[in-house]
Amino acid sequence: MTQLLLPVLFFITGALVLLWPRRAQLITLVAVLSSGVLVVMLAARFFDYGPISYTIGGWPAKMGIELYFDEIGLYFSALAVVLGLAVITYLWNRRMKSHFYLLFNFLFGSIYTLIFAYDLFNIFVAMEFLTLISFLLIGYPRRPYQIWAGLKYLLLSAIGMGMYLLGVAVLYYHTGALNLGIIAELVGGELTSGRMTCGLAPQYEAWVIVSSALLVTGLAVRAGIFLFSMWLPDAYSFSSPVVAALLAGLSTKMAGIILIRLAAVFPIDSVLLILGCITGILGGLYAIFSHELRRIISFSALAQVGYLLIGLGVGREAGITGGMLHLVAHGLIISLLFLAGGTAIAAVGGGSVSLLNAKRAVIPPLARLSLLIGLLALGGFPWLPPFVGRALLSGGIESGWLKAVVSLISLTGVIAIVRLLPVGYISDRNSPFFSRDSLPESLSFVVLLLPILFFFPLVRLAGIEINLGDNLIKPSMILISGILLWHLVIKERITGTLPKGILKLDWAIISLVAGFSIIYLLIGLL
Amino acid sequence: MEWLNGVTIGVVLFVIGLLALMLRRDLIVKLLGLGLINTSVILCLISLGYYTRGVAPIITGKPGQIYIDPLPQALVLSAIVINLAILALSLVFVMILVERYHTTDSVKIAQQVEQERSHDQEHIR
Amino acid sequence: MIVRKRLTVQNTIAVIVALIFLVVVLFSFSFIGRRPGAGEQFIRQGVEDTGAVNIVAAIYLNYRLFDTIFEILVFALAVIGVRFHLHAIKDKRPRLKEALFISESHIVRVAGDLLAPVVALIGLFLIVTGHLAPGGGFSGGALLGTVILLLAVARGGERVGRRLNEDVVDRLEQIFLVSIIALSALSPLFGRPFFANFFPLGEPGRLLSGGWILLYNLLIGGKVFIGIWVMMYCFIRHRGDV
Repeated sequence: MTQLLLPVLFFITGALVLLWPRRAQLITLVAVLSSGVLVVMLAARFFDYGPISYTIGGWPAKMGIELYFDEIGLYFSALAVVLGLAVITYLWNRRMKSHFYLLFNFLFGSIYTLIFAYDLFNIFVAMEFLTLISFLLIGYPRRPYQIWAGLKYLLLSAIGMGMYLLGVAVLYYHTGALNLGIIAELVGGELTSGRMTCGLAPQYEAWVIVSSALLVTGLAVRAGIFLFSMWLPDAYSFSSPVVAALLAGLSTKMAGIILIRLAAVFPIDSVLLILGCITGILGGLYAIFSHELRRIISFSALAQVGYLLIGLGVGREAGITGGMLHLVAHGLIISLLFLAGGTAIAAVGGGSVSLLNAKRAVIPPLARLSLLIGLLALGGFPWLPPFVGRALLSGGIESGWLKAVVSLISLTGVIAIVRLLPVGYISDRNSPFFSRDSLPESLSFVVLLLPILFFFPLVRLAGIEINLGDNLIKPSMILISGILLWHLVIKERITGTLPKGILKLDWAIISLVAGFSIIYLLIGLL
Repeated sequence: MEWLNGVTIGVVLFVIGLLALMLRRDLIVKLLGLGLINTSVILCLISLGYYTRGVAPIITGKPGQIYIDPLPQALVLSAIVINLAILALSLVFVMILVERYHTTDSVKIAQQVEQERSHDQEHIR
Repeated sequence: MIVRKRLTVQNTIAVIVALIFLVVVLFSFSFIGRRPGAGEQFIRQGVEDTGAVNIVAAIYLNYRLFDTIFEILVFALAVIGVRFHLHAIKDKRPRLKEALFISESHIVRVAGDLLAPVVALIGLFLIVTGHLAPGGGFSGGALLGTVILLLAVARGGERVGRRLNEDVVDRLEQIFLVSIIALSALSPLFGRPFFANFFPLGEPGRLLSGGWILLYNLLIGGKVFIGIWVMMYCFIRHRGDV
């Protein structure tokens, strides 16, 4: 299926932007639209015939590079198309330099590659390309704090990718392959060759443990996991809204995809479970103690990765699908929040919670509505996207303490957003819903709101069974108790902030290296 | 001296690079450490594909030769270029920061960035 | 004083963490030195499949061409990023009179003049014989880039930079980039899958063999040559001198 070569389309359009900088916007729009057509073709074929595999250049998979399209590809390429359209429409009236559109095209090229990638070294190359693009995008408006956030991001992810490449080297030395399918057979063959019977795994050879620890550490830096990717809050909250939306909605999600693929091959379930609990709870706590809109969204992004990891760690099909759907849903939500938040902050003149609440009448109505829907969705409001993933996920969990932890993460998520909910309260009905100046922005909110509001039926259409009725009670309970807790207990007591040391560059690197040892020990012992 | 091979040296160099990144505050030294990390990984890759009496993988048709593994060498080419790109771009960013704050000390830069941001309401746009 | 400054909690933790990393990785690397048979499928079929004697080039520009495209894009991105962001810094380009003043010693100048053609020839040789011997577009292109650096050291960066028309250089670089990507997308016109060679393979070992490897090496060599020079010129300009 040559449609899988969709990334090359973006490379060609990127090069065309270089040649004709004046037509950059048009070329990019055409590229995004045609990628949408290609994704629809791929999806149609996937529904008819199942997963699509394609080795570039017609070589055998052991020698060439394989691309692979399955459920992951389906969900995430749909997400990429929606986000691409939303960002293009958001920017339609603004005069961006052609440099931005060049980066935009290349970003989508590498993202589609990572969605389809099935070869470890290809993943490395595309990931590094993505790192450099995101780095340039963060620093694109050239403010000093953006430059500093970008530099932090680049240093940390370069260390992470160094570790990843070291892991690939170990793996290649022992298996002689880079293709994930072949490696899965080899590692799995060892699994079934009789030496292991129980879930505990000192029986793995040392190289499996060290290479999977290196790979997971490398990807954890990119995936937005607490302790590993402490570049994230600064990069998200300092970069311009569009860049933050792209970064949070797509760029960071890619490492999550690769983690999903790796979890099917390596014995990393329990590690991911524990990392998920840590990142969920700590991210939620930091979000509660933040006082700026974008800061809160960034820290809650750290917390939301926890659901994916817990889903992967549970290991059942419901858990994995739930985690994956949650990742897609969160991609939609967070980009909506960053775009609408950008509009709101620009209208109000500051990003702090108190300012936003005080001056909410100035915010354009549609942006306010989008903010409200996005925040409610983050809190797990029934029917809205993250709810779907969480419902599936909790269906896959059996042990009691894990259920408690997941509820706790949801609760912190609700508490973090409660104080922002007044923003959505519509006090005057005079301001027009659509105005001529803000038409592109409103259109982009609509582009994002449509899949958010119809996420549930769409998921059902894709053939995933969720019972709405059974899962209504618990999220509503958590939502209500979170709101009550905030207003009755916490509201007056939150004044300070949690220690910010871990966000500093040196400590971020130290915690990353220490995290590797922790992962290694956990894989070896559990 | 069996243990003294490219892989061991590569791992040791990797740790030295990490130490440079963690202990030194100077951004330029940090970038040097980053370069060291990437280069040490390249050394590991190359040595993992090497046999003691192997020949470079250029097929000459002579019988009885053991060719070393060509794949890591092809991979290393990509890794080297990526290394170059990362160093060049991060150097540019360091140059911008130095131009602004006249220091390469990462801690001082972080403090000044924080101050500037809290004063600057402009960042919202 | 210095010792006390360095023995902070942070540094102690950093050293401990790094040592743990070292021990963990070293002791689980069961490296025994030799693993014959790795990559033998490439050795066995490489010449037949691609017509190139140098199997590394065969992998690099045939089997794993997709990675190489990424690599070229990464390189192009580095050039673009360096150029874009260095415009933010105040231009320290010296005035013409200063720039034309040659500060280096006579020896450097003469040696530069003598060496430059030789190095350039070696670079070209590496590019052209990339499919027969170690070499190829990247190493050759980088070598050609250093030739201009050599000239810049010998005669002052500004003088060399002025010789090369910036617009023409930019245009050339873009054309190289576009043609590298487009060449791989042309294959279906010749009845081959994307990213598959559509040139005749030729007799292995000859200069005109190996399908499109030679053409690709030339394109990549040109791209890297120009890219390295553009990057270095940016840095030179903002530093004031070589």
